[in-house]
Amino acid sequence: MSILFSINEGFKGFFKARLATTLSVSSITLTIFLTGMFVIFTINLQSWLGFLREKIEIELFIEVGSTDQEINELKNKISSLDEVKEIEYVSEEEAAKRFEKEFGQNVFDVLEFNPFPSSIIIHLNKGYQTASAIGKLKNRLELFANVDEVFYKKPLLEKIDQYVQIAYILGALIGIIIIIIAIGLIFNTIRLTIYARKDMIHIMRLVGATEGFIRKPFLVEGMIQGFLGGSLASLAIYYSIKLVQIYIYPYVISNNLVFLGLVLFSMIIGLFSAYLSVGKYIRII
Amino acid sequence: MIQFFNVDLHYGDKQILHHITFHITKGDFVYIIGPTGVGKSSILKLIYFEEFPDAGTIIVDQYSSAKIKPRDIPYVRRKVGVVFQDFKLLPDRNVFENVAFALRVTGVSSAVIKKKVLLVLNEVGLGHRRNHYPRELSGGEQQRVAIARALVNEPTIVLADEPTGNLDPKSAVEILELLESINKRGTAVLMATHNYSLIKQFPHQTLSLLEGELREE
Repeated sequence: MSILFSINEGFKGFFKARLATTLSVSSITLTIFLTGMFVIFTINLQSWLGFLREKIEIELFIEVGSTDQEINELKNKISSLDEVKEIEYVSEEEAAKRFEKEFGQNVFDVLEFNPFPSSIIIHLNKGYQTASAIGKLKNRLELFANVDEVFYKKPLLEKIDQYVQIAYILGALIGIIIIIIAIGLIFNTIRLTIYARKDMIHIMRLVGATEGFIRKPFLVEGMIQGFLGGSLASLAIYYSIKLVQIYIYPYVISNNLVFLGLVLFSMIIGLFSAYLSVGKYIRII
Repeated sequence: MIQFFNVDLHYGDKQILHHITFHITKGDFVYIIGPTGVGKSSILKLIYFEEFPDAGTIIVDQYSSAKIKPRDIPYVRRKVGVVFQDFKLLPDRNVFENVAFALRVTGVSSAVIKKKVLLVLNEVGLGHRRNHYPRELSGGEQQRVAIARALVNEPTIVLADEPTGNLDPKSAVEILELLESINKRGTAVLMATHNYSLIKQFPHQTLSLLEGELREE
């Protein structure tokens, strides 16, 4: 019963302070929209970088003159490492063939001997595809017997890591600023509704409503604002993605959980801001 | 039911009440008289714990002003109905909802609310106007709605703060008649007023407040 009253009064307050509410909801929509677009951008960046990382492999050159048994032992040792997803052995002959395939010329036409050492190409498990993990693995691999040289595309990997870090920091900063703006907006709207309903609060106190009961409708109102702002923003993001997919870049990905997350997040912000506002202003009414 | 022991109250440097002692028991009808601004309303506010004394103690039912916790105050107020000169009705709710409001905020079920509100509206003679809004009612009718709201929680006492201050003489008499009929059914009434002609017309125990001191008339 009292819950119904709070929800009912929350909606009433929402419609009463129409101008403040409209301003507040549209600003929340805008801020959540920006947050959401940034989340979608990050998801796409992650997926694209993940795709790039998949391509990163370590090439380990085996010392010339190693015996088949030594090479097999090395292969087994490498395969058993946690970081390693799979390995691919490239014999000296195979390396020469690959050269011919890539450059269209038989190496023996140029040289009298095969200059390519045999090698092992190592594909890595997810989570070990970062610059620091690969760097550590390289150091360990170099200590193995019969290893001549270990090679990977270090600069590319470092660039990827750097971009990811920048994206995270930027995301966190934008997120914090947006949250503060949204909290400020809802805080202020609830303050206005509290003042607008001053008489009602007085009467509630007079007839014996508990403080918790008096506060609830305002909390509900904050949540409604958050819900509406979050939902409108989610809709806008959904259609923006569709438009981008149709007219600009068809490979943009999104995740339905993002929309749910945005609405929930927005509601929590609404509740929290209303809680702050009520805590500050209802006592002095 | 209500007891004041040596109650002092100041607003800043100004002493409003000085060593006030009196009591009200079940079924009493008491006037507090005195000029405007003398502190009659303060006595009422002390009873529903809107204000607290600087010295002395007030006891309302089992609660003492010295010991009551803020969370208990709402429960005292449910036993004390208050009526004001300016009615304090909610303009955006009809008569029924204004009265029901007092029950809704205390978590009473809808079925009980409907029954109690219709009963009390009939008691104050406004059952037929339950769907009207305050702006559609006369001053006297608005005050009746306020009295209905004060009564709907079945209080042990009704505090009326200049309830006839905004009313024409005829409506004022009707409000007094209503308060008397409520009193006859066992609810105590404490009314602050400076309308001496009404007191003559409806004589009851009268306490006079002047310069902080309370005297029996």
